[in-house]
Amino acid sequence: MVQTALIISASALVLTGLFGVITRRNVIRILLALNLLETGVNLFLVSIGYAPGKEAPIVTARITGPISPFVDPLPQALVLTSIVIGLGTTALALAITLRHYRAARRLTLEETGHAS
Amino acid sequence: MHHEILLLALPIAVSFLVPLLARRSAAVARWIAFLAYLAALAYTLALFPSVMASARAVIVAGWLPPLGIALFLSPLSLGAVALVYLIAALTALYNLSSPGENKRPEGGRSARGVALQALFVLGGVGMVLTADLFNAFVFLEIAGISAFALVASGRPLQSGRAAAANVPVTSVEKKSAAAADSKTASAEPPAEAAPSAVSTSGSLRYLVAAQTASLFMLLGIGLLYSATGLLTLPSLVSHPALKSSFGLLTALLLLFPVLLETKIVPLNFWVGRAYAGAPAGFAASLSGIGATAAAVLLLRMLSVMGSGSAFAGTAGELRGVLLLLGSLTVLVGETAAFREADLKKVLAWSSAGQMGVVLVGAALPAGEAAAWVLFFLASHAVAKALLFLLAGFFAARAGTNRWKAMKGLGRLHPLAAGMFTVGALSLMGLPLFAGFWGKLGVLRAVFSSGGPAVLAAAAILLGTVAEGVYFLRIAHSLFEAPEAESGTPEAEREAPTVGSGKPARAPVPAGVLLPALILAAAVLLLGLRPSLAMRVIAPAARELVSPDEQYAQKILPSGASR
Repeated sequence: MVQTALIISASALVLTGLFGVITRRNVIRILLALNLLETGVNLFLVSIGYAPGKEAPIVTARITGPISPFVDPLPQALVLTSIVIGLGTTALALAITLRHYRAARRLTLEETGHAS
Repeated sequence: MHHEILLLALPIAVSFLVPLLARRSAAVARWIAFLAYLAALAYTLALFPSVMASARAVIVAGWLPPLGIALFLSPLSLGAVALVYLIAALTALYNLSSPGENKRPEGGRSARGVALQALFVLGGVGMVLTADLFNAFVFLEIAGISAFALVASGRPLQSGRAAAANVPVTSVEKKSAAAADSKTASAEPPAEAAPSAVSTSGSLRYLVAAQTASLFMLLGIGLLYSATGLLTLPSLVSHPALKSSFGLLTALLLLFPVLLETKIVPLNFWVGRAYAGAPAGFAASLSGIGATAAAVLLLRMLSVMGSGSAFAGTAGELRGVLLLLGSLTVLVGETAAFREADLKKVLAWSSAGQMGVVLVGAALPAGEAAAWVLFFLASHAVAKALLFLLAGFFAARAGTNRWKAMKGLGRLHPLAAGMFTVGALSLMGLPLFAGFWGKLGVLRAVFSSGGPAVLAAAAILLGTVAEGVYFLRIAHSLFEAPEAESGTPEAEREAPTVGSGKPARAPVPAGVLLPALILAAAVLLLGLRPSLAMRVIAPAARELVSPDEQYAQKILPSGASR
């Protein structure tokens, strides 16, 4: 149930993001859409490892038994990495956008002369 | 502790040490990078004898493969690593004394640029060595991020005006170029010189495309994990088959960023602009290292998907799709290269066309062409790096990237232009040059497999004709007298006539000559004695043809594949 809801919202985020990446022309909006897409993918990954009623995969003093009460930790590890990468890429993309704005004085990418 | 991890640790060390040790002096940074790549190349070659005897997996941190991460050392991966480090060392050598350039170092040559290039090399090496899909994703991201930054760091050639003449620009861009001009005229060039809109917009296009593709791959990784609980590539070889439509979707999602990096057709709209923006030294790496490493990863993934049991239901459809994409890429790439006036864009699109040939070869059933595809890939990497380095030199001399403006430069620098011709002839696939054997082998395999694949052969042959026309056009224009309307074709190879050139007849700097000579020699050597490379390529091809015994069984501890 929870998993279904998670997957539905993840696909909604992915599709919204994809729509934005394809249709927007302003670079900042494209990057926002890219972040939506990324959030959707991350949510999807987390939802794969989800299992109802199980613990977060963190070893604490009160947990002594076998591994069964945990949700799958691997997707969460992947998502952590993916979030860090996403943060780095977004920061870099915004820096390049700033540079682009300084050089071109606009926030779109198209060039009027197509010959080159 | 496995010392093989040094293959990855060396470029990381360069990229992290350079900002600490060589912030002030870009020259020191460039020397550190050059020496580190040389050391890495020597180390790779030293590993060769033992790996040729028997491929082995390096288990990182003691976690066994289905759970942990493994690097795979085999003739294929180590051969690709050697190629990557060779090109990295030669571009670093080129960067040591970049031509025609004075106070403002080009983007790729500053200390930061050196650090970023080291990260890019790391991404390439990692892509080739890893046996884990998520790891491959991370290495693709590392290579991507450093590439975006390096492309964005491209500067207009020599002056803002030369750059403005270089590309048709909008009035807005002209204004900013003029502003940059007046700025440089009024004062010393500032440390952060005017960025070029060509570079930044090229970089952003590349970034958005590559990031979207990477997220698709992540989605594919999620789907694969949900269905199999596995992320290591070798364990898919013997996994029970996935449902066919699900398998096809997952396979395509996983291949997305790899196809993008190898410039395959619906995903290569960024190519021209990104390469045009990249600094010359880095453009050589982008094609020679980035595309090659991604293509090796692609071949590895396709080999697992085509021969492994997990994707058994979809291998046929996947092949059909890839064959079509490969043929289209050849046509689109070569047509685009034919139309370009910018030499760097010509080379970039020709790279796309060549990768189309690789994909056609890879899509043939049961790896019939595997050995020739690998040979083709290696000869393309060497020849394209050669061409990009020389293009950078000619562009610096001409003050523009337009090849028509480079008319007559070959008379001033006959050796450089001669080597350019060698690289071009190899890409066209003429006998005596490296590209010949690979293209011939792929074509032969295409014809022998028959059926719809023969259309791909037609595409490759058409592409070769287009290549012939535009490369000979460029080579001819290089040797043409600047004033005379046209030289006869026979006059092409004539010794330079003295006094024809207005530009100063400075000698070709050693930093250009040396790497170019080594690369040109490699092209000729591979062309005359293909059997030399085949010693490594033949066992490497066996890995692709039978991934079960040559790949999966070497990495997975017996019985651990769940």
